[in-house]
Amino acid sequence: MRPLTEDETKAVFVKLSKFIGDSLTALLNRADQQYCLRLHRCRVYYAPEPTMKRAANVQRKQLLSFGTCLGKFTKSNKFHLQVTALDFLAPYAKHKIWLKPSAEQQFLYGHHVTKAGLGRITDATPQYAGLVVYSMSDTPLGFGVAAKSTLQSRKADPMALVCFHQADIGEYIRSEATLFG
Amino acid sequence: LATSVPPTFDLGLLLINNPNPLDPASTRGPELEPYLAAVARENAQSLLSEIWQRLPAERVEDAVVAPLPPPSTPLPREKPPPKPKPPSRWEEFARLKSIRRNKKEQAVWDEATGEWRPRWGYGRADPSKEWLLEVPASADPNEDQFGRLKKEKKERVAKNELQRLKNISRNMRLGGTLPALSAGGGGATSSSKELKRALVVAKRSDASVGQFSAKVGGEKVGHLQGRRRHFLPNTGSLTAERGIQEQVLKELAARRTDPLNTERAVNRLQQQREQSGDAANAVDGRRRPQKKKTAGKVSTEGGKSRRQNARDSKSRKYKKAAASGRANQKMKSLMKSKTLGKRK
Repeated sequence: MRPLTEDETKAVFVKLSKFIGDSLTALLNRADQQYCLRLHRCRVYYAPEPTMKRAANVQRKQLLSFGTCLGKFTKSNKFHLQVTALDFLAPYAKHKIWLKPSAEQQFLYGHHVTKAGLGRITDATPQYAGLVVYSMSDTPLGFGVAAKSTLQSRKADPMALVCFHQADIGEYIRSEATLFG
Repeated sequence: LATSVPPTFDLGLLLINNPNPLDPASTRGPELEPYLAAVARENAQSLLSEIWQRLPAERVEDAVVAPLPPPSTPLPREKPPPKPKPPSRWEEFARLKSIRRNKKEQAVWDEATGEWRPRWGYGRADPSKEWLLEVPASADPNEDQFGRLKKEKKERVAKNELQRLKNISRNMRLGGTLPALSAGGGGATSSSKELKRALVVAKRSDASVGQFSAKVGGEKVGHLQGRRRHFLPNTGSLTAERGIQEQVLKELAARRTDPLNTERAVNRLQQQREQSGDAANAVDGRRRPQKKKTAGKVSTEGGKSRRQNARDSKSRKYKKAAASGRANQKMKSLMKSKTLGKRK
C-alpha cells in the first residue's frame, strides 16, 4: 500500500474528471473525515484515513480491499475505472443518461446503449463525454462514454449506438472474481 | 560507332557502375595514367551530379545535405557464416532411433478433480502440491512421501542442469560459442568486459537496483546504478500528498480551454431554432423563409438576419461575462478555439 505518485494521481484525476468534472475537489476535501487515495496491488482505493491506517496493519498478500476501490492500473499504467466507484460518481455526475426499462437489462449484461433504449440525456453532452447511466427510476446502473453528442443522438436512427458501456452493476455478479483482485 | 552504355548507380553505397570498356589505344604507353585519371574524374563527376540531381537536398544549419537512399546492391558477407550447432546427445540419439516430437495438447484430463487442467503453468495438476498422497504398497510405511517427491524433483532438475552443461562443454570443444545470456544485450558475451556489463545489468534489474543481491566472486559493488523509485510515506502527515493533488488539480483546471462552454450555448441556440422552425412548418405545412423567423430567447428587433441574431446573442452572453469581471482570460481562450464542439 502506498500513496499515488504524481503521474498516477494525474491519470486517476483525469479519468474521474471526465465523469464528475470540478466536483473532484468535493471528493478530496471532505468535511466529515480526511479521505485518502492509496495504491494496493495496482488498484486504487479511496478510504478514510483511520480505515487506511488499520488496513496498513494487514499483510500485503492478505489484504483484499479497504475503503472503496475506484479502479485499477493496467500493466501499461493506464487507469480503468470500475463499477465499485459508482457510488461516488453518481451524485456528482456532470452528464447523465436515462435508459428505458426495455434497455436496462441489455445494459446490465454489458451491451452498449442504442438510440432505441435511450430515455433521456443531459443537454449539451459533448461526444465522448463520460456519462453516468440511470434507469428511469433514477437508480444509477453504471457508467459509459457518450457515442454521440445530445444533438447527434436526437437525429440518430434507432439502431445507432448512443452510449458505449464501460461498467455496470451487473458486474458485481458477472465479474465477481476479478472485481477485487 | 560504338555507343557508350550509360552508367548505373547505387546511391546508398555511393557507387557508380560504368560498364564501358577502356579505350585500348589509350591504355598503352605513357598515356595510361592521365587516361585513367580522366576516366575516374568523369565517373566521379557523373556520380556527384547524379546525387544532386536525383536526391532532394535539405538545409541543415549551414550545410546543404542530401539523404542517401538505402543501398540496393547486396554486399557479400563480412564474416564467415556461423557453423551449425553440433547436435546434443539426445538429438543424436533421437536421430538414430528416428524418434520424432509429438505435439502435445495443452489440456490434460485430471482424474482427481474431474476437470481439464493445463499440462504446464498456472493451474496445472502438480503432484507435489497435492494435499493427500497415498503410500504405495511397495514403499516403506515410515517414508515421507512429500519429501520423496521433493527430493526426486531436485534430482531431476540437477540431472538436467548437468546434461545442459555437458552439452555446452561439448559445443565449446568442437569449436562453438557459449550460449547467449539473457542479460547480455543480444548474446555478445565473448569478452570479460561484456560479461561484466551483463552482470551489472542483471543485478540492477530489480526494484532495489541490486542492493540486496549476493556478491559474486571478487566483485566490487560501486554506487547503485539505476534509478530507485521513491514513494511518499504511507501513514503520517498527508500534506505532501495533498500538495501533489492540488498541483494536479491546478494543471487540469489550466488545461480546460472552454470555461464558458460555448458548445452548450450554441447547442441551446440550435435547439431553440429547430424547435421554432419545426413549429412554423407544422402550422401550415409550407416552407417559410427562415430569415424572418426568430428563435425563442433571441428576439429580433426590426428583422435582423439569422446570423446577425446568433452574433448578437453570443456577443450579449460574452458581454455579460465581461461585465462579471472574468473577461480577459476567457475571451482569449474563446478567440483561440476555432472549431466548436472540441473541448480540451
